[in-house]
Amino acid sequence: MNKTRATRPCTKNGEVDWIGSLPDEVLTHILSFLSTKEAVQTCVLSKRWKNTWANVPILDIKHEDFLVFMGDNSSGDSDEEGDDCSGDSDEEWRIAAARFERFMTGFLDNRAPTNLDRVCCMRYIYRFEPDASVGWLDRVALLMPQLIDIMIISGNSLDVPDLVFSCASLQHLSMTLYTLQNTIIKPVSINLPSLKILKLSQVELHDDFLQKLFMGCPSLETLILRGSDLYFSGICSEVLKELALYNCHLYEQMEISCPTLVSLCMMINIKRGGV
Amino acid sequence: MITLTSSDGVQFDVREAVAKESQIIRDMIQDDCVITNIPLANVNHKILSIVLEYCQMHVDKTEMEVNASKHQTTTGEGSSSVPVALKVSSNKNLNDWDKEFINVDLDTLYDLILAANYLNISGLLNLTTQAAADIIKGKTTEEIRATFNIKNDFTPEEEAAIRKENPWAFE
Repeated sequence: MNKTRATRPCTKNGEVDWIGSLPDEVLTHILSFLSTKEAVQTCVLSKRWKNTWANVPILDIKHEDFLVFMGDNSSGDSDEEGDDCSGDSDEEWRIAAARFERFMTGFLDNRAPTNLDRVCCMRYIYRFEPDASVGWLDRVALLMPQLIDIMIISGNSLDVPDLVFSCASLQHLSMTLYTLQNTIIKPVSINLPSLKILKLSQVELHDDFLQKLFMGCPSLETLILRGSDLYFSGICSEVLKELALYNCHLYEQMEISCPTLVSLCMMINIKRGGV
Repeated sequence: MITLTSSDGVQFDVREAVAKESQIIRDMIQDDCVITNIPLANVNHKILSIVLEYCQMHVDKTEMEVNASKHQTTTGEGSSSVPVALKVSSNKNLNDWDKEFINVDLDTLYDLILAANYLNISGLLNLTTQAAADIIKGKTTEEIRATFNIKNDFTPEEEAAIRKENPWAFE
């Protein structure tokens, strides 16, 4: 594509497509500010746009993006689901869940074979999806993102895939898992050499996790835990600068030994043990 | 001071710090420290003056913050080097200023995107491309085409085929 232009297109006559004459990388940059669904849908604008979305290094999708309220006929081609709709909102969310999963697969199957920089996902999993998983998280982790920020709200228990804990490029990992009982995070191993910031919310963590974490994350500077159940006997790190525990429940006698710590914030409910 | 010359021959004298908001100018100055006049073949004077207004504001704001933290003063009023434009907006957030700054017509936005890309001014490139994205947001395919004069060069059959082959994208 032409990287420079000779003359300034005049849009006033309605003749020239100025945005299409921008360099590829600038178009991609523009699309990176849209939700992934909006970015993908630009593929039908014109031939210029057909594959532009495929190079956007951002995945930004939310369950709501796929929600179409029943009775809204403008949504188009959803015939196979539209027929059996009961008109109640559970059904709307169920359809949105199926669309979310198909979109995720379609996006990962059809994008250019380049890395992702940033991944932001939000997904509700209902009780009527007993087999729902976040298996896509493994595929996403293989695309070497620097940032992953996911929120899963689930009526079922949840298995967190392991690969996200051995993603060499990852600098920032943020995971919020609202489940009936806090999900235990216990990856087989942790190897995140670039990780600087880890935020976990609504999970259950044990000593074993902490040991693997500090072994596998030599650059970890910030650890923020919210609303979680902690079975820690000690938080010991030589590199941690910021530690914050908000609204966590503590079930052990815990010792904190972090000589490099600059900031410490603890709002914890001591169930057993102490600090 | 550094002189920047627009593609249509207009000269702008700016402080080095302001010019260095541009990565390519920063690189040029680093490579050749006695350089004083830089011709910019791809930016006309109208757009260059707008770009420099952006750079000036962002340099001033940064310097003011550095000074403020240095002197531990509560306001920036004590410094006589703070330009009037900045004093006027000193109680305003830089983001608000950006928002107002980028409220331009589509033709200008297009030229600013190209200039920011060519001069490699990352803040301005983000601001302008975000503005273009905001225009796309929430619009239907037809509305986007109409807004940007995008000519649909697919045949109806081709467009239908894309939608049919990628149902996941349009649900």
